[in-house]
Amino acid sequence: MLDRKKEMHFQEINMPDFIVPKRFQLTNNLQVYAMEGGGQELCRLDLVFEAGSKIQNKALQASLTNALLLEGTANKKGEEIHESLDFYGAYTQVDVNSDRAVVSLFTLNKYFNEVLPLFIDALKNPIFPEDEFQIALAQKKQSFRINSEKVEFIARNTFFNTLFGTHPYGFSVTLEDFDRITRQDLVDFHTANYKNAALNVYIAGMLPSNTESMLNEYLGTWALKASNSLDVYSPVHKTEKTHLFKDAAMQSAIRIGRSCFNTHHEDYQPLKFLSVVLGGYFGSRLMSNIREDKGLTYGIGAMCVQQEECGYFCISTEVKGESTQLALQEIYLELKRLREALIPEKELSLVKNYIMGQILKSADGPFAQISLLKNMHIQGTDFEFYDSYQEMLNQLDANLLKDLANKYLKEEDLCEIVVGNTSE
Amino acid sequence: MINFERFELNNGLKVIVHQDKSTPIVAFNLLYDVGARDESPERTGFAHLFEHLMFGGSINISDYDEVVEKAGGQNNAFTSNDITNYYITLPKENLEHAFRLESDRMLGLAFTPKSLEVQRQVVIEEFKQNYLNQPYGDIHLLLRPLAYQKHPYQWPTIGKEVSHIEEATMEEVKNFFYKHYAPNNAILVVAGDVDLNHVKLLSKKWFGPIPLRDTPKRDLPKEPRQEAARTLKVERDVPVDVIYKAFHMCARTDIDFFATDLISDILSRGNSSRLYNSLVKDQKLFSDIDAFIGGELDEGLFYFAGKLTPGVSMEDAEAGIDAEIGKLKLFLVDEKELRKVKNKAISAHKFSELNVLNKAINLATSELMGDASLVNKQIDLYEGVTASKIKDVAQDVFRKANSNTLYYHAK
Repeated sequence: MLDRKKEMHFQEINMPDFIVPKRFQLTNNLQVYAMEGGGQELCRLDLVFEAGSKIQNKALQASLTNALLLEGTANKKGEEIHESLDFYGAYTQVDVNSDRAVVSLFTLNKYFNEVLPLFIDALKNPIFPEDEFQIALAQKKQSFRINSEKVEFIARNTFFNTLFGTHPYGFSVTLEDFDRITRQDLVDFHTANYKNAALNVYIAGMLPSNTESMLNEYLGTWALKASNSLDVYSPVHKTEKTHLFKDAAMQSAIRIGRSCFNTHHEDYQPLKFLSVVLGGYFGSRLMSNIREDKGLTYGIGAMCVQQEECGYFCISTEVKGESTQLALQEIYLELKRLREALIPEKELSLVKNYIMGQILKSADGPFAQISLLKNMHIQGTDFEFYDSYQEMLNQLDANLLKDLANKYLKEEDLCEIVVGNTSE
Repeated sequence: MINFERFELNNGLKVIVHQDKSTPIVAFNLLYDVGARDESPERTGFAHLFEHLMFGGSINISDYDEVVEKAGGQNNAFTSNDITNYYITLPKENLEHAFRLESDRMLGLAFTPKSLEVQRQVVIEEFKQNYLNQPYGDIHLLLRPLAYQKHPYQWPTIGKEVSHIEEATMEEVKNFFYKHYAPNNAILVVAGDVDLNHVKLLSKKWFGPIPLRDTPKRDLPKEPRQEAARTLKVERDVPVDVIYKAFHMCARTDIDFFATDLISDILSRGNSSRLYNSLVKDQKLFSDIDAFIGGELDEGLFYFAGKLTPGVSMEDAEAGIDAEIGKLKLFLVDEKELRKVKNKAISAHKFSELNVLNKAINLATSELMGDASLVNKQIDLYEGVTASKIKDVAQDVFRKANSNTLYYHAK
């Protein structure tokens, strides 16, 4: 007779096998990381530029430059570029954050030789046509106006602004910024940060045999510059509690957190672990209490986020408006529990397994692995990081984590932003 | 090409196994053939509420998520108008945990009053977060009842209104479970570095003892052919005017589905598409416009959704859409444009087969449509679409009398 109640044995999860990337240098010394494999006749190419918003001179400069990279050169209109890329079934993706800009190409490998020249030409020689610029600007402005109605958006911006003040990490766009930015600002930013680039290149999938020579032909002449020197930034520690009333809001958006450090700090990984215990997975303490026990929210999370110059810790949620105070009280109660009581061994081992499972999933195949490697490089690490990771996980114990909570997660040391129903 | 094997247990559970030796992860996907279309009009949002309750403990296992997390896995679920789909991805060494968890839920739930009370609240907050406390959040709550008068697609999966969720009773919850959650109403797909015989053994061991249940044959009212255009005008506190148009289209299993899907690509896939170039770039009527299909299994909807450029009137914006529709009805798409959208659809299909979970979900939905091997026929079906087929479908779908237009004005 099958015993359904009996819990079965859990196999220990081992580190996945990471693919050793093939590294090669193009004639201009550009570094390329390549990972071959995967069952589909597809490949992806990622170009990572040091062209994030923290080095812009003007609001919107980095994001609009990034968004309009493929919208036209002196010889080709934007629609011709897209027409050709679409014809081959290729996809492109552009993305930018404070630290980096990433431009990605996804293509069937049989068309790689046709698609690559088109893609690189568009990226290297955009002229940012005024017409395309105005359309994109109008679109972004409209999205901005729509987002500005959302409690979550207001809370997020207020949070970063509180934590990081005038540093680019704390900057948020205003409606007026859309009237100040010009096409020339994009041209200038492109010249300074793309045309002359601090750049890394990643490629994965079923690679055509001439990949290296193709990359050399189209990327080997790119003008490169040295990486931007890295400022270490330690913001003045803030503990403000800001409550913004929003009329007719059914839900309140809450952000609680603090600035901390980047991955190189010895407390980064342990604090990240603690954020998973608190609110990093479905069964986490915040989810169990505020969603699964009290039903105050659709979701709540805590995270420890890496940024090159200074990371942050953040709890975020949207809760039932009339229960805002109760939600705040319970969030602080969970923080207090982390400071005052030891995390039970059972819970520790569950979270460790959960994290190992996440790593396994993020290493599923060359497409996932190249993406992981790219992100690790942005964080200043490498797959070697994982050599000692499991050991680090094993050494995390309840006492150490409790000390850490007392060091970083005292109620009086955290900022609190509430947008929505702020009645006491 | 996705290779697979298929078998059926005595209790009617269909099982599909796809072997992919390259991944350390196994995807365990269990699809139940029940969605919002199976709800009573007085109890909408029930299939989705039920999806939440499935995580509130089963007969022998009080904490589903804890077991998944200990096994190093991740799980989630989604409800659509057609199906409710549950999935776990986990390291292959821990595969049997997924069998234990899912078979216990199929056997029966704990049905604790606490779980119902809490999940009711959670779902109401989800309703608010996504539909009510969000600019334009109520569009589908308005558009669906405009387009459907008989078929239950007239409400979205979240439900018609919050009160339906508020009033759900435990009795109704239990009835819903035993009516729809049964081995003979489910499709299981296991994909990853697994062995067919091993999956057979585990399936028999864990799911085999669950009795076949008496599930009602689906008999939904058919939406009558729409013979007069419908419009709805609303005013809301939002920053910009928006227009939505919805036309009835064929079912997912109809051969015309592929031509209809390609029409949406011609109109709005990527920056080289017609709507973007004509209506956004050239005429500047919209700051943003999309054409897309809902993807429902029964006769679904073909949507246009546009945000108007400030200062442009609804009439001018709508005339712009109508003109693009007119071109599709009058002229054949040229070969190059047709080749482009086919290439794009084919490459999208290949990219969708990059990870095991997607493959598992694709297999399960194909099996639901009648045959898992449909998943391997998609490319040929797209290839088979001709320019004249596209014109025929456009003429049939984009009849004025078949249109449902929502004018969403900013106050």
